[in-house]
Amino acid sequence: MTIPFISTNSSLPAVSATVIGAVLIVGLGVTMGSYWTVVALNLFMWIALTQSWSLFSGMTGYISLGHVVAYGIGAYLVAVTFKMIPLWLSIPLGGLAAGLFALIVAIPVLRVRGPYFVILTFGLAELVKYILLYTETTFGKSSRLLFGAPKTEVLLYWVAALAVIATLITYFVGRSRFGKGLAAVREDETAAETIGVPVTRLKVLAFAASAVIPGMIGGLMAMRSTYFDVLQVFNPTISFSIVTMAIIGGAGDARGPILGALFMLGLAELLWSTAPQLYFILLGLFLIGFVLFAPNGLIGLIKRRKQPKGSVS
Amino acid sequence: MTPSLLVTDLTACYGEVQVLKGVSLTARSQGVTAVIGSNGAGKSTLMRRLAGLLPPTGGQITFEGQDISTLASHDLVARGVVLVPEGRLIFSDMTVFENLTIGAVNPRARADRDNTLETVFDFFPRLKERRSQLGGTLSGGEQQMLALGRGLMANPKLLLLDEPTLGLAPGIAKQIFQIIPGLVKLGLSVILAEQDVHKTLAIADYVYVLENGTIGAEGLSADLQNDQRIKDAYLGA
Repeated sequence: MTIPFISTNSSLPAVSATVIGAVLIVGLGVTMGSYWTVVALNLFMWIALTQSWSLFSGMTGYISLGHVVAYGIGAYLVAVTFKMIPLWLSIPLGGLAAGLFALIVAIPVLRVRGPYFVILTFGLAELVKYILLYTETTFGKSSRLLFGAPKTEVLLYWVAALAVIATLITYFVGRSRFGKGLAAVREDETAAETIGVPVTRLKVLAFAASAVIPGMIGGLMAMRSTYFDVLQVFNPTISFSIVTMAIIGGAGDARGPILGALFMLGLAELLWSTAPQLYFILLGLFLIGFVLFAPNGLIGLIKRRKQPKGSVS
Repeated sequence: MTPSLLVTDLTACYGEVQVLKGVSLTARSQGVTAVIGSNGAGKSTLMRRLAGLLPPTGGQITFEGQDISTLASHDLVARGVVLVPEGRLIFSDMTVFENLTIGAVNPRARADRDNTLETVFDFFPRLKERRSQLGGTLSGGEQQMLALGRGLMANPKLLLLDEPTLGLAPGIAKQIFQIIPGLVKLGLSVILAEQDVHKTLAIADYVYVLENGTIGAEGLSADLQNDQRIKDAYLGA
């Protein structure tokens, strides 16, 4: 008898479904005109961001409220080096810079847990924001115009590819020994240590890895807005939105962030232009509702319907 | 008997508070070495320190002839020193099966996982019956069995058992105590920290009495059972 740590037989459908779904949406977005191109771009951006967040926070239970810092660092690197080095290089470099930053701060930041970790990550992102704001204004560059950015369609291909990659990473890590180790950390960190999970190493790696794709997305979205402004790319609302989507969709499962992003963007597209106030009211209500009644999000609700509750002794 | 673990002048602190003030002991190879003592004597601290869960402050720990004083917990597990922590700390949202398989996370244990699993199921048939049940839905005794089983899955050479019968009904506590000699028969060395002096003396080869962070007394179980001071303090005349 063998114990399947990675069940490869069920991987293929999930991978194909992700890729086919992404290609379909990209195709629809491009053929149906610029409005839908933007909708598709936003959808993939949020999937990529939330999926990456889930890779660390969903799996370990350490809730990061500062993931925008990776996005901002990536955007900053791409904006500063714009026209100096080509985008195909600067965008991955932006991801790398975000990952390196996370790696460096991981050791001190990951010493605290629970609400302290939440507050610390939030504070850290704000700190970086104001340091860069100070630097930029000192050099007389409160914002940078980025002329000659690629077309939205081109950006869409990049972002869609990153969303697919992020989804597959979350999916495969969840099934790997690395992912099982992270799940043990989420369940009980001390117990994880006693059974020999290299807790610190795993947390640091996951934290750094979860910053790379958001860094690249940040760079791409700076291209999309065609100008760079520190306050915009380090906007804490981005962090909040990521966490909201993860809560509504359900973290710790690669399908959760997709559902969360679809749900929130769907709601936004329906209400944004007609009743923006209603949108925020509903969003608040949904968030409260999910936290209270469906803490595992939409994916948790689906799973609960699929399999009846296990027998209780 | 050859020693499995040699501890010399070990200290441990929680922040400013020093809990262990120079503990020396020897764990016998393929035997049960017990550490008894009242609440707050430092038993759990000693076990956590031995498992690498507390920062090294002073003293030396030698395992199979090698200095392991400053190793991290996962390195200790990889070498075969495994703690079954007080309060069980099982993964409630994982199934019994998942709890067990994740116990074999270290490379040495991974290769042997399937065989070890069979051994664990032989020891605890109840776990086999409940293998697809969530850890959190088990009874206290079953959870203790699961914690023990998870520890065994790591393929330990030295098992550190921290109060394995804490909070269990007497009948179940008895069952757990009966399992320990069986573990020794498998070739394991055991360090058992316990409050139940009667039952501990019955299964241990050698006993240390921990008092306020130091070893107050020690001796063969048989000798301590007749020691007047131990009788007065722990056995209740």
